[in-house]
Amino acid sequence: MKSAIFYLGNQIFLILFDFLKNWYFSSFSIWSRLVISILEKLDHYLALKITLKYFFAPLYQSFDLAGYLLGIFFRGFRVLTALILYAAIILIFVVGYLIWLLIPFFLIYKAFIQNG
Amino acid sequence: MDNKEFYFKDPFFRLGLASQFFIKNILQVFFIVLVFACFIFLMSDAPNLFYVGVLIFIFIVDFIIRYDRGRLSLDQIPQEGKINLKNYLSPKASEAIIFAYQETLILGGSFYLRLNKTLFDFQEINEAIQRMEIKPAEVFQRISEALKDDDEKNSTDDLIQKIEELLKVAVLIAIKGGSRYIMPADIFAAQKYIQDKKIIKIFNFFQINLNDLEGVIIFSRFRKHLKKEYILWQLPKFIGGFANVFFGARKRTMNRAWTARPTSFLDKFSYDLTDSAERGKLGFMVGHTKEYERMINVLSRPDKPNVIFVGEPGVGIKTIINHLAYMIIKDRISETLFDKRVVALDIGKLLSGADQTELQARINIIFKEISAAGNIILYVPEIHNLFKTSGELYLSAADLISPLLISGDFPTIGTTYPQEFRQFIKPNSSFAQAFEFIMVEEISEEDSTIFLTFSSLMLEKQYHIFISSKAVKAAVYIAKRYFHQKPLPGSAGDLLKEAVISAKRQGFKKLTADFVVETAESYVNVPIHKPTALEAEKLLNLENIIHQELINQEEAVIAVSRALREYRSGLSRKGGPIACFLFVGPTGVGKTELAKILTKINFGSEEMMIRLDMSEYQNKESLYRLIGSPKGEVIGLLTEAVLEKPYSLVLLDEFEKAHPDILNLFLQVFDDGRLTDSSGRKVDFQNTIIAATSNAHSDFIKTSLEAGKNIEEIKEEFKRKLVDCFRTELLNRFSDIIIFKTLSKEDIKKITFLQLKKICFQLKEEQSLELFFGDDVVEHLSEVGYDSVFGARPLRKAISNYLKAPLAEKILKGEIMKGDSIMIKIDAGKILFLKITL
Repeated sequence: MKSAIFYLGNQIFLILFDFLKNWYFSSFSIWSRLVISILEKLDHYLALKITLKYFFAPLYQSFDLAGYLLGIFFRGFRVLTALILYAAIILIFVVGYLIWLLIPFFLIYKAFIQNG
Repeated sequence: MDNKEFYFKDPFFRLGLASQFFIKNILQVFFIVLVFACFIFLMSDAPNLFYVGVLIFIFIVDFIIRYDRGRLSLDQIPQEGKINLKNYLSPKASEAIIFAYQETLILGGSFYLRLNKTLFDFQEINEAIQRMEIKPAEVFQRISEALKDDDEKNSTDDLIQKIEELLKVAVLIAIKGGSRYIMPADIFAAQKYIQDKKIIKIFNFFQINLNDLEGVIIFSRFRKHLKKEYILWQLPKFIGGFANVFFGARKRTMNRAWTARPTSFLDKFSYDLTDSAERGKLGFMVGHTKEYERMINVLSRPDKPNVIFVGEPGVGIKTIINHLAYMIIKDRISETLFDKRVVALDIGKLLSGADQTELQARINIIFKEISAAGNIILYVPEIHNLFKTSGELYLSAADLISPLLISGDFPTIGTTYPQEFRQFIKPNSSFAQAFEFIMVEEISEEDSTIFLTFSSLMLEKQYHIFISSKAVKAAVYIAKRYFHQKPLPGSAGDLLKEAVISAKRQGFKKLTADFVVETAESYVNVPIHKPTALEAEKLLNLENIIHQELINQEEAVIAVSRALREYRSGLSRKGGPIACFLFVGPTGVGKTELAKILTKINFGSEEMMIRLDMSEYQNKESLYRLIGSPKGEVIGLLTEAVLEKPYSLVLLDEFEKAHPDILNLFLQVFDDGRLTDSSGRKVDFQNTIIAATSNAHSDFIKTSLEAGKNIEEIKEEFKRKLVDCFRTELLNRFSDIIIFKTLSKEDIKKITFLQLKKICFQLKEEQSLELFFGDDVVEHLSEVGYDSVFGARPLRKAISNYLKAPLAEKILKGEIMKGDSIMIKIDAGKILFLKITL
């Protein structure tokens, strides 16, 4: 019987431990995978990496001054848009994740400290 | 290098049964109390209780989300160290093991049998068994019966060891199948490696192939995953292709860096495969990895980045090119080909409605656009069409386009067929030198099975019919064996689709292997299915059936019957024709007759016989009359005939008279069952029976038989004599050399009787005439129709002269009418036709 009670206590401990582990550690990989997946999908259209690679290439194969200048101008605009958008997405996720991390603390505070 | 060491340790199994029961119930009560507490606290007005309720709520939600997951995930398994498999078990797998363990401890018997009983409750396993065309309920029943008589005893330690052994295998299967946890299906599949005698016995009884089981389970898992991924409108028409091909679509997925120019004119005469790949979301490839890698290497090189695929229609060349488009849109491609468009030129559209000048203008604009764009990989399907001389415009197109393709300004992919390659492209050396040629053969049976398994997913969705894995395997096997006109996987895919449509039309909800066999048999004249009881009876009685139409020649009949029985039971040698016989003996003794009977029995009709008189092929040049001339002016009589009738009997009369080079041709045919004609096409003889006849040394047969020897006694000596006419290696390749005896007068009488019966039957069917005859007629006709030198050959002429000809005259004169009954009599050596009333 003693070993059964010990096992039971261990299982309950593990259940609580797993909850905290999932909430604080596993969630990080979930959140980060989600944000990377969104950024990858967006990059298929905004093409930040490719645009940077061909930043100084003439626009639409126009090997004249206009082609080069317009290429820099339009690509620059696109790079800036992509950077702002990506930064915003990352910021939203970081803030969201921080809120996520604080939720249990917030609840404990509200339950046991603030409202005594 | 992996230094993982798996083990299984769970203190739960070391507890007594009562303790286990106690723990399970306490945990359940704990959660019920938690749920109630959450509900009550959330309803409470007290703010602190409310927040406690919220905390409990998120705990419960997290628990529910993780309910079907193990503690740890297999994709995060450490690369080394000791790993406790208990943490990677899914809750269902854990429950199944615990239940089987407890049952075994309480009731005794085999742990594996009890575990299987429990595992059959899981839908994934049930479905896998059903896909193998086995009823799960019957297997369950058999296991239950086996357990009744099972008095095996296991201690706790024994059981834990067995569990550990099983899980060590199951974890590898789970990892291989891409699972995050060890699932019940992985445990079920792991049994193949455990080799428990009791389980093996049951699986053998139901012919559950454990090798296939693992594949079926992995596949069922993929199927469930695929269901979530697909929206119906995106369903591709076929694997490797795309559902919608948009001609001249403006949307351009590639050129994301804006470095390439648009190609508005080209778009009118082409379709963009990269666009289609983007929409179709498929273009995956099974097999052909070497050809694909080679293509990438060639297209990526700076100099002459041009490739032409050479292969028969249906080998999968388009699949390789579609896969290229797919990999480009997924950015999984070499840097040189990054962000490029694969554009297929439609030569037909290019030429349509254009005269010479217009065509020239079109081509100039298109190729200027391609060069200017800088991101085009041009795909020219059936590139040999550029060189076909039919029509002036084709000639012009070749003149204009070839130099542009050779220039190497942009990568080009062309496709062609072997015959057209030899005929049109190879002779054109300046064109040929600019390209790398990649030969594409059909994919293997294993790859075809994988391909077809994925195709079956689509067919199931489209036709709402359950397709068993055996049906898929049967389609591949039958297509490989019997349908050689089209290569794998196309031939197997066509057969499977036909079977699905036929099954759907007949209202079936499930497609089994037997139905696929039935569908295939409707196309060929050979029985493919395992012999039914009736057929088995017929095969065992084949000698009597043949003797209904052939007189004497018992040894010959026994030999051919034996060969056919071996073939139908699947025991004949694989790779060559069904059988190759050399019929030797005097003229007119039944060699051709036996060949005709064999044709009827095996292929359904005498019309399925291809007959060649080898005495017409006595010089070397006549080889081309058999296999066709290299330039194609003369078609091959043999090769064309077999291509047209792949299921037939090939009769080679007077075989010894053929030129030695022609005889050598048959070495390959008898060995591999294949012959390559002059244009490079492989002609398949694997579904033919080959019967060669010869009169060589028939005097020896006659004299030996007259001296009192029997066939068996003279056979060996006769074979040695045959070396004068045929090479030893050719003689060795025959399934059997069958000696035919001379016919006696008694035999001729019997043959005459048979021939007369045939004529009676024919007249009854066609003219509604009843014909009767007595022994005197048989006697008379056999007398005039017999010749000791020519055997029964003169008999046909005798019957024609003395019976058929006068009968025909009387019918035409109206002396004999339809519905009359005629008695044939002999009077003073003359045949009389007397009308009788019945």
